[in-house]
Amino acid sequence: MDKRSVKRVVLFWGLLFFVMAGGAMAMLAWAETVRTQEEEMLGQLILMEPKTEGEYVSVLRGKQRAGKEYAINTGRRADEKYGYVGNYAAASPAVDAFLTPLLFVTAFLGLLLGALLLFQKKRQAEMELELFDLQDKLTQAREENQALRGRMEEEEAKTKALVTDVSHQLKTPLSSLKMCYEIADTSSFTLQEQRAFLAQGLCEVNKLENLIHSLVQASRLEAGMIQIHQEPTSLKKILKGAVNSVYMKAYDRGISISLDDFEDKNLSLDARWTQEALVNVLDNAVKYSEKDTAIEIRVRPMISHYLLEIEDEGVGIAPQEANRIFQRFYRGSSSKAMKAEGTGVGLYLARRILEAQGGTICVKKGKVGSLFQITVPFHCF
Amino acid sequence: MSEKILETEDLCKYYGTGENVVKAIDHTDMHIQRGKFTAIVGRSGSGKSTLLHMLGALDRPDSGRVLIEGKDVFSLKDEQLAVFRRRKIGFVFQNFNLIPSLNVWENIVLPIGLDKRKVNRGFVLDLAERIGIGDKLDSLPNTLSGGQQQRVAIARALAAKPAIILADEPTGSLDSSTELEVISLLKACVSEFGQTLVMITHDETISQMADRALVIADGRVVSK
Repeated sequence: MDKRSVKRVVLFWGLLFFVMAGGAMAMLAWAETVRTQEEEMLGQLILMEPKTEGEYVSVLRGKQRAGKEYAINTGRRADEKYGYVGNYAAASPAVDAFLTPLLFVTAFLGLLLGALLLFQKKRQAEMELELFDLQDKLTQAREENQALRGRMEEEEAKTKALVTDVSHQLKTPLSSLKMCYEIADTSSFTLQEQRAFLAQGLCEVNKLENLIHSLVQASRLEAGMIQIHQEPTSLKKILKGAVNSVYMKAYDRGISISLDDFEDKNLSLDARWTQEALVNVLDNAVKYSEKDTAIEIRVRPMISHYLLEIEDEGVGIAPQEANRIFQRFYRGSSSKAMKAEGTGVGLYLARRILEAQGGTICVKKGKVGSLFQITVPFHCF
Repeated sequence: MSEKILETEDLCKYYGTGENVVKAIDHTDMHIQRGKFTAIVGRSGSGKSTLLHMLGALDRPDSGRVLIEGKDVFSLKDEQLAVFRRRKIGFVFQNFNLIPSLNVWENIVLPIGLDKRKVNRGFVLDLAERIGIGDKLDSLPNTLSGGQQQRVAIARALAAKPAIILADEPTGSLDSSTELEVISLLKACVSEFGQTLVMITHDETISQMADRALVIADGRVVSK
């Protein structure tokens, strides 16, 4: 126990002892005064009427008494007869001497004790709340520490997974390429057939190049090397840039892309990466659309965000795949998805880029194909 | 791995007795990871709201424990629980639950005031601006549209900077584009402030945007 609480305990017990001692002393003094008073009364009566000394002693000492009630009434009537009514203080010197000061002292000490007890209780409640608060803060600090450690472990695990994924992704086109060259190198095929395999080899090289480009981007994003620098930019400019990037590819397949005019605002965005994200979504739409279909882009400002809708007339996405298409390297399970070129990284990147800027992307069933809904906030956090 | 900020152990909540007993929550063990957006998906009557109410210590279970940051909340004294809940959790309900006699600003700062904390005016004004209700601070709730009222409710839940936001079908009363906006807002805010978001929804699109979706059926949770 510290000095303060020792002091408080000593004070409390000291006060209590003082009160009890004072009370005991007062009781003794009272008893003494009452006895003295009785003896004086006895003496006065005897002196008044010496012949009745014996009777007075026996009455006062309880040896000879009439009924209590009867005696009280007789006494009262005598008092009234001679005009001594309602004068309590004068009737008994003992009462006079002690009652009033005793009452005051008792009341004072009682209030003091009460106040001390109340104060004590209040302090206790305050301390309990303070303790609770501290425990809470400690828990929070511990949790934050654990969260940091958890994040570190997660980062490590992510890096390991990325390395595994990348090597896995590279294996297939690489072995295909190897096979093409091995075959082209043998003499059991005609020149024409060898040339065909060489051409196929070139195709695989191009695929590899695309794959590596996407993988480098993905890994840079994971490693935090891609820094999103948000600056005031025009959304229209970004969108136009994105459409231009995929326009030729769409044109080659007879797919039309339409973009309605909209009210432009200067938003805080990273122009380069946002365009990249939109290109990935549009690229996806073109890839999975049939020939001679249309892709519609609609932009609408809402209260705190822009709503960007990209709707295609393609094969659509099964509901159970809706979330998975945004996962890294996920290609989809439909046969068309399997056949199409791609690395499964585009939509993953798009989501990461948009979410890093306070936006979102999701996919719904469109009228024919898929409807991608993208939100971009007016104010970034 | 991200640790558990919310956890239930063998949680049970029954309504009714005997043959008519309804097992709203039936021996459920689940947890929510700190800092992530978790969607709780399920059909009507699957026990989603009951579960959320217990995660937010608004309702007592019949048996089992609810742990918030490792603390068994129902073992706390009433006064401590009230303080704890007020500081740790922000709620967003489907029907907004704004106080009709208070204006937008007063509704937003009410939880902070109840906790006897000082209001960081700059922060709250900034938040209101970004959420899109910066020009409506003096208005009363009944003069606002559903979407605007829900934004106020979100601002209220975020202004006190609680560690956890629990949302019970926050977009249920809104049209689809406002819905998307509201979800985007919530997502961006909790991500920015490192908060944990738990949202009940029956909408597949919303659950698509979560980091993790838990499916609840017949009072039990199955991880997706």
